[in-house]
Amino acid sequence: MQGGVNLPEPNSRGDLSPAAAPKQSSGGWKELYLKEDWWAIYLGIFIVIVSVIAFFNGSTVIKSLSVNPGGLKWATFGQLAAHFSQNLNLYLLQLIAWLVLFGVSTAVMGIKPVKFIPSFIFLYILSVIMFAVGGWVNAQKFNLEPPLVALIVGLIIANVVPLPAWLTEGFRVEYYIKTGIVLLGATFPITLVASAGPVALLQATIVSVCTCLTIMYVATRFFGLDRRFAAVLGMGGSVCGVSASMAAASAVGAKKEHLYASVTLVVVWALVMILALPFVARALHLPAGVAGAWIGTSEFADAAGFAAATSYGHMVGNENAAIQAFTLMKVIGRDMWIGIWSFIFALIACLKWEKEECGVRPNAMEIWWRFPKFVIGFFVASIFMTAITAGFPAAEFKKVVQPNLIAPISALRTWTFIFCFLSIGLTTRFRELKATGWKPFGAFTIGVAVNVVLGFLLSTIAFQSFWSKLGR
Amino acid sequence: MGKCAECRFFCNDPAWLEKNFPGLNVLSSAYASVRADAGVCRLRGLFLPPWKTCPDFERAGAGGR
Repeated sequence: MQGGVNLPEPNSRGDLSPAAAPKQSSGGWKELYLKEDWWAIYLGIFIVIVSVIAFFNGSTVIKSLSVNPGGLKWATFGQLAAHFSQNLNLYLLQLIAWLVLFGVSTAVMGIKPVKFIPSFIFLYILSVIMFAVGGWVNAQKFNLEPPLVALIVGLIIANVVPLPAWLTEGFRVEYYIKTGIVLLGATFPITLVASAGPVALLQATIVSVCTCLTIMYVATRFFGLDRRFAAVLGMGGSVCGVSASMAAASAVGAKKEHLYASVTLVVVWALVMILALPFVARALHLPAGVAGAWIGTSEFADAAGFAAATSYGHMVGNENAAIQAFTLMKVIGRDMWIGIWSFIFALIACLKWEKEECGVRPNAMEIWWRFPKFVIGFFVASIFMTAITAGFPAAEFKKVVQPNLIAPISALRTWTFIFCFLSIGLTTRFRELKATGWKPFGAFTIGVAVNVVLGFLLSTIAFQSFWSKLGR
Repeated sequence: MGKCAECRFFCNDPAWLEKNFPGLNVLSSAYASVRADAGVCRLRGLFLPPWKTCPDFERAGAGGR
């Protein structure tokens, strides 16, 4: 091997035409407008600032624009129809607002508006239906949790109905959840982040390290898999799913087939967890904060985890605690550290696995380049709103600030979450996922088992008293 | 030695990556910061950062292989 690149034999298949492969450089300042993390920050903070301005000016425009039928408790279709009839102008204005915000930003990132717009309109209509389902007076009786319904409806449509490819451009799972997380920051006191963050980081690190080492050991020693492949599986199963797999693959120079396999394994297991974890938590009567923490270490991706945590929180009537615990564990405890994990693996690959031929050494700037920038937006929103609302006495906060400032931002966040949950289902086309083979499946699954059990023990025993106090 | 970022075999366009890695955009995104500018070497079939080098480098826009 020479020059820092592990050199398997050239691939004689595939498109090696003389034309250059399509490229995009998002380095330096370009990142600020080519990466969705930054756009999530811009959109989220923009919504928060406009909401604050509207609130202090006594305007209800944001409150009106955050309309949704989720809280209606409708019993007849007539009631539902009346709601839409009375608020049609608000729904249309809201759709236009979302189209402008997401449409302009995705166009700048390179997604064609002519494809994004019809796709997003389709997504919005489905989202309204999902909210309406959640607003049915008997929804909870039949376990019709909107995130789970959205996921299942999306899966059915994606795998049964032949959606044209151009209609999928609006299904931006990660962009919607990142925007939602920035908005979540606005309703998340920074004092809670400061007090609970270290505990979340400790628990998440214990579980992540144990899971990653388990997967890598089993993959290489039991199943004889390549150590680069083991690293991709390890980071995917322990840190942050597909995003971490991508980071690991790049860090160690893995084969693209390794990334294919990891993507498939993460997607399949994440879907299983979204459906299983809330119902298992309910069967065990876990407090919302404890379940949220457990989901935070068990789920692989923010989008999937928020679906599970939101569902469970809604089931037990304490969505706040479940979402707070999940956010602390996953966003603060795991997501933020992807860059460091990647850099460590890059160093190991360079200094140990390819010791004599490393060539170009990894740059510590990788830690920043790979840092999930949307987390900055979460912190900014949290600090900003904590400061803005600090001067209100508790009674006034509850009577005035909560319903007129916090609740509308939460409602808009819920919209972005529903866009995300529907998009998870709508983008999961099982027949297109690449096969993995039983050895990677075995290694990953053993890691999942360790992850789930260890996370459960830490959440329900070691740190139970801590997590169960959240949201009270 | 030229870097992968300037090599004609290296592809890191986000739309291309999402199309060629099925399932990648289910729970992640090629437009995410976490990918940085990593991409695929179509010659070697590897997923690499753009600053890597190798002796098979061919500048983008050079003649066919």
